[in-house]
Amino acid sequence: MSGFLDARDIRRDFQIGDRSLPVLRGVDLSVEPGDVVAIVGPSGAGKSTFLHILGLLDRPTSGSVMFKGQAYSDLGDRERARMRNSTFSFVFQFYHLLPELTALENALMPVMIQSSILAWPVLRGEARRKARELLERMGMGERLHHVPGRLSGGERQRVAIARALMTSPEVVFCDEPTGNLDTVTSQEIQDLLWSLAEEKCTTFVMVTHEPSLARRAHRVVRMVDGLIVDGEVPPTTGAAVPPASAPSPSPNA
Amino acid sequence: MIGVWFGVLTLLVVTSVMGGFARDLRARIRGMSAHITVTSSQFSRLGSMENWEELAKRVKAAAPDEVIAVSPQLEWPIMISKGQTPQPATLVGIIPDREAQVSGFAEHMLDGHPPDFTDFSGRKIPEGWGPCIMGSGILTTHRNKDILFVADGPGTAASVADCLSAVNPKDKFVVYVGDAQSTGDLATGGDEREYRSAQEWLKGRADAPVRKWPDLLERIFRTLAYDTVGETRPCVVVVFGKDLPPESAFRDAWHRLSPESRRLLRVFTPGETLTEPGGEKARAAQFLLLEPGPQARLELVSRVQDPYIGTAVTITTITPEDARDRGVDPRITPTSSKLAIVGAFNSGMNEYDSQIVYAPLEFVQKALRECRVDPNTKEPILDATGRIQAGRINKLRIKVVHYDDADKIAERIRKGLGGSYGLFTWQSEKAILLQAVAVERTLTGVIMFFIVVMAAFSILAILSMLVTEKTRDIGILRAQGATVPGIMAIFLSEGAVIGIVGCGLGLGTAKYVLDNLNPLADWIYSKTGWYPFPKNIYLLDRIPHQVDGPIWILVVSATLFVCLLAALWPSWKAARLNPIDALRYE
Ligand SMILES: Nc1ncnc2c1ncn2[C@@H]1O[C@H](COP(=O)(O)OP(=O)(O)OP(=O)(O)O)[C@@H](O)[C@H]1O
Ligand SMILES: [Mg+2]
Repeated sequence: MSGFLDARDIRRDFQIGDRSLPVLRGVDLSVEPGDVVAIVGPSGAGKSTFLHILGLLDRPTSGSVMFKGQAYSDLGDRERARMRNSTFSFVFQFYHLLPELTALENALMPVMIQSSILAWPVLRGEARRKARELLERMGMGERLHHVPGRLSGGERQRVAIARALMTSPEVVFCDEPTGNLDTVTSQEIQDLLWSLAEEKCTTFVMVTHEPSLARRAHRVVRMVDGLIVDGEVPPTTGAAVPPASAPSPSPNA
Repeated sequence: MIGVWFGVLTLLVVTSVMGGFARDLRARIRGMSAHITVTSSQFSRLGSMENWEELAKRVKAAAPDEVIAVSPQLEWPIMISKGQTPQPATLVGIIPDREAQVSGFAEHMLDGHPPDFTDFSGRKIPEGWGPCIMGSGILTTHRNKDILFVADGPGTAASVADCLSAVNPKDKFVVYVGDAQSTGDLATGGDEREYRSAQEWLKGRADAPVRKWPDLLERIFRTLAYDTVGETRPCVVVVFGKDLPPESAFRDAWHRLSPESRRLLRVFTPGETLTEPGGEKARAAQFLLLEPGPQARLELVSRVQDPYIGTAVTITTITPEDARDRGVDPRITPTSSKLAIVGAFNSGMNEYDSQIVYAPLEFVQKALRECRVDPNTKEPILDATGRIQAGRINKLRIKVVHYDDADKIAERIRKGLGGSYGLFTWQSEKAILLQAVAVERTLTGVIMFFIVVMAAFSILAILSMLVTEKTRDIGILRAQGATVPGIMAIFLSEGAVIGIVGCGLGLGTAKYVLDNLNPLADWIYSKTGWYPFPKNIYLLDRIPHQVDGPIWILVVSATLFVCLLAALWPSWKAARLNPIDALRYE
């Protein structure tokens, strides 16, 4: 019970026809500020579902999630939208960029959503500068005005990460951020994520199948069949795992 | 957007045309029929009312605040004939000044035709004949004539080309330009292409002078005369020229024809006394000398509307004789008279234009013996000044101030008159027609309503497709914290843009189409040969329209409302999905 992000007894059933399919069957998890938590587990275990519930993209069938002492179930639509925008961010496996917009515009989107129409012209310059800076840091300086259709998978994911970081969120949820990428690109993205996490002390909750990514996390949670089987302890006590208390070695570029 | 555009366009055009149609039809009906008509209920006699001046005073006294003018009429069906084919018509005896006050008769006269039975071209009417003014529709049914255009000298070909567009489609025309040898012969007509090719042909001969003028004339006559054998189609010879030969040149040329030809061709020029047709087979040729220039076309239209104008027709009718009154056998007797057509009117309502022949009231009374007659000779008894006595009428027509209250006013007049009079109002006279228009309007209203509903559904379909297509994007935006109202605002503005642009285009094109309805109809006719607004069906000869402000505002605001509503519902549905369901949407 950390008081930062706590999930208690989360259950989620999906309704298929008139059959109810339990996907999450009572998941507990608490995340400390600054934590980097990796959720691993076999396909179909319910990892994405859980992450969506944590990130306010979905609602649990029962159970409660608290963020800084505030229960999600007490939040109104407007509150939830505000938190999705400014407090949390999502990086999806399939990027989910708006196809008609350029890399820069996609990255700007959360700020645009955040500001009112009237305030936007004022904020625009500053926001553009920030988005450009973020994209340049990710090596996207030459691709600012490309639409997603003209970007490679790795490039798209960089745009998505830039977008996730635009609002300086408190928690970033990543659902298999490198799942669609080759090893080299995957490594680059991982390094990027890591350096960002470290620099901003942002909390990360990520789902991954990538051992190399999981190994770097402060904590690895294992989920099987809708339950956490192996949670709350550093994983598999492998030699390469950094100690949870002393986060992340310097990213090897 | 295009759907909205066409929806708005059709709605506006159809309602405006229907509105205009109803309005014009009512105005026309009112214009030609009097607001209130008094008849006698004694139908056994033709002229059922005597001493109409006295009756008019009583009418006026019955409703002094309402009655503006009264006009007596003696109306009777006749057969009208010119040459072989008789045709039914209605002879209406009027006093022109009075009739003009009651109906729109004077305004409907063709250009330059005075509404008072004097001849429009100043010809004298022969002794014993009556002048008459005919509906242009009656003339039209006869209208199959030859028009011979003769261009003399430089610059005249252009005038001929200009005048060709005034030629009636049923007429044949021939154009001569140049000397006798190189005469171009462009007969036939009735077809837009013929006019155009004639105009092309004229362009190539713009400045060809006519050299041997008398020879050319003789040739024209000969052509006409030989054409005439077995034909009675009249002919108008329109001569364009700056320094035209004197009128005697026409005479001389005519005299040089063989006696045989002269018997076949009857020539008259403006200003000449009308003569009776030279025989059944004689062909009337009217000469018109026109100065070339822009006024030529107008002059042609007003003077050569029909070659029958200025010629004579014979009318025949049967009158029910009242034996007791007139001392003759109680049987129906045929009567015939000669009328000279001195003018024509076009009320725009086919029903009147193809039916009515106006003649002076006294002439009609005399012709139908609706006055004091000698019991032996059955001829009218004239007074010292040569006028008939005790003329009778069968209709007294009244114009009132408030024509929509005609029924109430008619009731007042009925009370004031007492006795056995029948009163009709313009509405009751044309009740079926007015009802038909009203029913048609209602029907159109119902159809329009369904069109609106269909249009609304198509807008809904378009926008929900758009929203469905964008469900994933909605999910992406929602995942980044866009609110439901925020998402809806995007689609609402989309709907608003579609609505506003569609309405704007619709309004613009509707305005354009309405302003150009008749040219467009003519264009369709010229391309397809199908006329979208046949005048004999619709009673009006032009397509009317009425721009009704409130209806336009209603149409536009309803369209905008539907567009917004149609955008509202699907976007509300999509925005309310769980963000993750929207993202996962395939
Ligand atoms: N909207 C839904 N309706 C019905 N079943 C669903 C829905 N979403 C997920 N599921 C089911 O829930 C289960 C868990 O799905 P989830 O996406 O959470 O798995 P996962 O652990 O992320 O797997 P992977 O590693 O392959 O991404 C799956 O069996 C899936 O079929
Ligand atoms: Mg998953």
